[in-house]
Amino acid sequence: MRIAVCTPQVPFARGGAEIFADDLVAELRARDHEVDHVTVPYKWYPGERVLSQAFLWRLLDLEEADGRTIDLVIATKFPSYAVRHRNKVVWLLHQFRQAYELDRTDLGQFGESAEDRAARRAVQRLDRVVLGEARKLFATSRNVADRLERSTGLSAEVMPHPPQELPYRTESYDDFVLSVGRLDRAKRHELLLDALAADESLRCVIVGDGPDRERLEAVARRHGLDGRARFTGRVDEQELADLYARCLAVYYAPVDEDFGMVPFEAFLSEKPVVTTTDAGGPLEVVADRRTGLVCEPRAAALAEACSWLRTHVDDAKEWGRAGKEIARRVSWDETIERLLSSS
Amino acid sequence: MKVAYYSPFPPERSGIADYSALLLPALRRFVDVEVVRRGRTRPVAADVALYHVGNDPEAHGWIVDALRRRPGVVVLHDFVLHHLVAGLTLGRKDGPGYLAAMERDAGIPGRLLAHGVLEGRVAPLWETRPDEFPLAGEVLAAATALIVHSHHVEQRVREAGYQGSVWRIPHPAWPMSAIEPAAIDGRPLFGCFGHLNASKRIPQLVEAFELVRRRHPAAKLLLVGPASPGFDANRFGGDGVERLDYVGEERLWSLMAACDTCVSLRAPTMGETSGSVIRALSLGRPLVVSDLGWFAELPDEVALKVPVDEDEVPALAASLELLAASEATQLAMSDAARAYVAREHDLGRTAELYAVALEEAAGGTIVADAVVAEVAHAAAEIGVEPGTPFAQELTARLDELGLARNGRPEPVPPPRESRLGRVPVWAWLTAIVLVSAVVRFALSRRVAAPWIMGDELIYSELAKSFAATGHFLLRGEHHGAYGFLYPVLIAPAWKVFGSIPDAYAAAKAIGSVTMSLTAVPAYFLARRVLAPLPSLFAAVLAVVVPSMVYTGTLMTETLFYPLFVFVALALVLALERPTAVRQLALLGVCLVAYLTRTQAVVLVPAIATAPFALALADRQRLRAALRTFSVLYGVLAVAVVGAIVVELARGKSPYDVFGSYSVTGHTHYNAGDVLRWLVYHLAGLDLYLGILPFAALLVLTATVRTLDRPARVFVAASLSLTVWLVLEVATFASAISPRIEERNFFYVAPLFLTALLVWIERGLPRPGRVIAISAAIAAALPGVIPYRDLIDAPAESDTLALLPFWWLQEHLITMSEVVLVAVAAAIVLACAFLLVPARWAYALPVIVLVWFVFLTERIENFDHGFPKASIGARYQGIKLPHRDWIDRLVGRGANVAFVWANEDKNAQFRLWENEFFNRSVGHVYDLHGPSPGTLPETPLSQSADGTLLAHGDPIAARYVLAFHSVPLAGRVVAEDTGAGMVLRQLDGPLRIAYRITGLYPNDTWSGPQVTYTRLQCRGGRLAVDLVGDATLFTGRQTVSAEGRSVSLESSQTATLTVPMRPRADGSCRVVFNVAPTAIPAVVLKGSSDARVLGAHFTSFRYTAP
Repeated sequence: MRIAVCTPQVPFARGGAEIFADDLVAELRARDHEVDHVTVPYKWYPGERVLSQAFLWRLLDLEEADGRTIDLVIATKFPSYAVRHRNKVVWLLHQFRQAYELDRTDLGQFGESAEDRAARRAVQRLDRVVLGEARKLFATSRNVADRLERSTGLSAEVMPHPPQELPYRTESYDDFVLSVGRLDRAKRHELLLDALAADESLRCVIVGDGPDRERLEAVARRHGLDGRARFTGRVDEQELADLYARCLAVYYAPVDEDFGMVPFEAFLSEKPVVTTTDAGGPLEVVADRRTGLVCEPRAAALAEACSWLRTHVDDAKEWGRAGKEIARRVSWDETIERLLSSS
Repeated sequence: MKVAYYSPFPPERSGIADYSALLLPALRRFVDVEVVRRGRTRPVAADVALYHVGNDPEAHGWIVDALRRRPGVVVLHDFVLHHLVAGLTLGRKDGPGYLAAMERDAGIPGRLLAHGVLEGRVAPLWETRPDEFPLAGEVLAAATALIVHSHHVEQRVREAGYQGSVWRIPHPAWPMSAIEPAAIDGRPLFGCFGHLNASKRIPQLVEAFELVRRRHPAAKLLLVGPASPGFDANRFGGDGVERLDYVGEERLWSLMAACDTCVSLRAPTMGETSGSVIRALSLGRPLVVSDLGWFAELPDEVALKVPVDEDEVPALAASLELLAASEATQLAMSDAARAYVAREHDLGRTAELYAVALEEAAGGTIVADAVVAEVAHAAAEIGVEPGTPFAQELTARLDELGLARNGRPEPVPPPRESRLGRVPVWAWLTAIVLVSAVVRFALSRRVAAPWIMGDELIYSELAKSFAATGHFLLRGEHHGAYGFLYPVLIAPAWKVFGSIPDAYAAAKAIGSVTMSLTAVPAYFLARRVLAPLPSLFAAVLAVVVPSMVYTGTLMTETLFYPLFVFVALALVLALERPTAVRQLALLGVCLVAYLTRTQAVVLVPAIATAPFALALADRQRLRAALRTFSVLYGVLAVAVVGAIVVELARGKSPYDVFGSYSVTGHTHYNAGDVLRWLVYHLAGLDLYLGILPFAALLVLTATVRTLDRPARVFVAASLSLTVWLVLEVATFASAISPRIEERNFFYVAPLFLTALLVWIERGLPRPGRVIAISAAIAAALPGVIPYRDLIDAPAESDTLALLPFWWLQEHLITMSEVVLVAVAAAIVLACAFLLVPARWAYALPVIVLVWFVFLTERIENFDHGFPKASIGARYQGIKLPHRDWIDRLVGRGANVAFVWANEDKNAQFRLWENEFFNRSVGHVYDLHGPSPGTLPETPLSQSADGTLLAHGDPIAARYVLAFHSVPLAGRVVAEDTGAGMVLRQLDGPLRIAYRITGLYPNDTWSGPQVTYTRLQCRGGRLAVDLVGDATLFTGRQTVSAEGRSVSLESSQTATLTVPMRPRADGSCRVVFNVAPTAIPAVVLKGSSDARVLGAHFTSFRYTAP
């Protein structure tokens, strides 16, 4: 089958979505499909730019390439799913959240002017059109599926994506908490730093890079966390697997996150996940005191949770193993079978 | 993004008013909405205007007028607008307008038909054939987008050629709460709700019901609602049919809940939806409707539909019969109705759909143009020409995503805000405060001296003491329990300025600024219920109230006024959203008010009852209010109990929490007197406010349950504060201070002034009886004031609203005519309240403003006004040019004692003014009893040698100030001869210089013998000036002493000089004998004076050796 996997690309940025797309392409190829990754640079600001960027996808002709038909288009996130194709399947990572639940929050984009309000509505209207024409809709989590239904009235099947392939292993439960992810405000790394400030016995390693890094490092300095909070920047797969293998637990508590691969990666290393009650998607796999700890999104509560794990390593091990059982059940074989059977 | 919202609102009785009242709070969660005042047709500065258009010209005429001036989004509640257009044209004597409308709709035949209507040859089409001539053309032409409620109307507007966006948004359902079904006999019970008229198919319904009743004799049909004009609903009152006229919302729900089935028929339809149907569905009532228009679009599982044809009656009877006979059908329809309402008519969803439509209407074209421009620019850069296939594909793709113009109208630029409108609110507020402060300070300079005694003296003394020592002392002593915040506020004046006249001016400047700051909380209070502009007007009115003249005094009023309005603001905020923080903030502001003025103790019951008042207005259980405001009640309970326990533990009365007014707690109050004075005070408040604001708050109170929630909160807060404050003041007046204590309740004025603006901004609702009764009460109340008793000196300081009437009474009318003038003026104002049209509504607050300015002018210039009263006080106290004459002579640090000797009735001003204006004047000593007031003084006793003792000790003062007649020893330093005051320098302890006996009190007449005793005397000479009296004595008189004598001719003066010799006790004594003497009662015909009179001893002059 000739398949085009469509994702937008923010130049010079790489995160979970990009890893996911690479994995999907690789897994499809591994199953003898002819697959290519189609991407278009993406910039969502200022003003109406988000709409003209979406329009670029609409102009793409992916019905055929080089005289040969493309059988299936798999689109993943806004605005790539605006692409036209008779056999379009959307595996939705997320919509343009600034037009929905992030509107009028610190993470929002649209102001209160008539133009901004109308631009936001235009994004919503566009979603209804281009998602509504898809042959099948999958969502990476119940959280994403629910948001989709609330905002557009469209239903999607929940289909989590398997985590990236790493040399997962379990070595020890050292006394640091690991945080992995792009450094932006939505990922809420600052809460972890605040927790470290509240409990001087805690340490953490923060893996990843992003626009918020400078500010987070400043926060760490202000809290006097020198030596207790380490920013590694982006690391290679070996080092990441090594950190997973040695950490006490993994912190993952973005604000109302879509899903995120991090909890599964933690589980595959038999590490419990510490998250918060408002984290959204992660709560679908992190069960309090079964596969990790779910606390209030307050520094003191998070500090207490991390501290508790330090003194209850046996529980941490047990919850990590329980998580691993869950993560193992999510496989590419089943996932790709569902994707292709719908086309 | 801001939306200008044009709609009728309750208490107007219309379905669309109810609709907007329901929708607006939900819509405000999505967009900034400014409700446009009823009658305003001038465009409002907003991004988009939303016009609710229905078929009633009375309710919607002004809205169409506004639509004509600025196109916008139209909510088309009815497609057929013939009645509306007839009202807008023929109703305004605009026959050509009607002809044009008919021609637009139906061409030349329509115009000809309209001519027939104008000439009376054709029956009014709006009554006979409106559905054939909907006349929606003009409204559609001005609509940039349409919101409709049904496919039916959507289809009709498209058929009418409308090209713009049409949004179909369901009618929202009311949030449901527990509803108690009304106790109505009869089963099955059918109900038909709303205006009764022929189009509701009432005759057909009654006929069908009679058929049903044959099988179900206990069946009953309720016809609830007022009959439309020309429709005789009474003829349908047959067996089992019960007619009820208009019922309130609560009763309506209760009646509907009691029904087994609700019937809502319609033919012909004007394209309308039915609020009654939505209510019935919300309640899960099975429905029977006409198979027509919007009604036909209801799902079959929630409504049985009756065709409008020759089989209508039997089909209707069959439907009713089916429901009467089948409980299972009823239950199934009931469940389906509730599910349908939850699914389709959710209020939040409706509001969001409105927001989508409005945001699209306001900015959709701009966004589309921007995207298209970007795409077109890029296409042009690579040579894509317009009209080429690729250009067409671009257009098609843009259109697919809704990014092309595609029918979107040319964006309507929002009306430009005027230059003044662009000035930020903070700048306006600053300007209001500054201008007010400057004007008030300028006016306060006309007040020459403190005159509201002893309050002004007390607070200035406390401030002076705090500035000097950090303690609150009166005449050097801790005395009484006065609020300390005001003295702290003005203390810097005494700290900074040494000269008391300068400090006095500075204290008034502080007061002017402080009281003017009332504009700030008044603005934010008004903003809870009003748009920015009227809120600024409320702020202006708040600082134009006549009582602002208290800036010319040193009284707590200047600080308490802004604090009270802050309390009102905090109360409204706490009622709006009773978070713990807001409740604690409210309590905090109340505490600050209490520390300023003990009167604020009344805030305890006021803020405690406000949540209950709101619960009543919100139709909620009182217990819920108790729970919601647990923090407030908890802290209040602890504070009240704590205060009582502390006072008892200190061995004091709990009433001591009233501070210097603790006497109020021990006073006996008569209920009848309290009630009488309560009425007087309400009348005084009414008069003070200029009638109109008082009437407005009455109307809002009477219609509170129909108001939007912010207005309900405001009314609940205003009533609680006003009722308790006026009751407190009236109670005080009834037993202690028999006058209208306007000075103690004018603080509520901003609440009433804001209420007037709220009433105006809500479209001047004038519900029949309510408006008439409110206006009548407001007009009648001034008639109960006993002007004859109350127009007197106390009114000068305490009842300012009486001053113009006092002035009238002194110059133009008699006292008995005052009440007539007051009531006549009140009636005129009440008529204005009843009749002023919406477009002139702001004339009403302007009238109030003019009344305030007039009152202030009278207070400033009338003989009994503030400046005159203060000048009187100043010159009763000090006649010299410099008010600080003593400080100037002896220095501000000198120690000047004041000896009070109870001279005449105005003598206290000589004490108070000299004490106030001279820092050097300190302790006050009583020679023959205390001065008026309760300020601390030290009583004096005399030793045998004339030394004056305080608590047995001599007084070591450097100077003494006393009345001229007090025979004190000491060198005379200066005299205020006009006021009769003498400043002496002492050469030892304070003492009496001499004593005279034998003269009648306060008189120069002697008896037969006069004795002059000089204390601590070393000898010398005494000269006495004598005058005879020709009316009593015809011959000579002889006055002799120490062997010397002088003969006194009738009415002539003489002087007798005698030597004085020291005696063993150190004194010198001279005894004067007068002969002959006479008794006026004996020698003068008609005299009753039985005194034995000798001669006039007009002066004694002592010369030391």
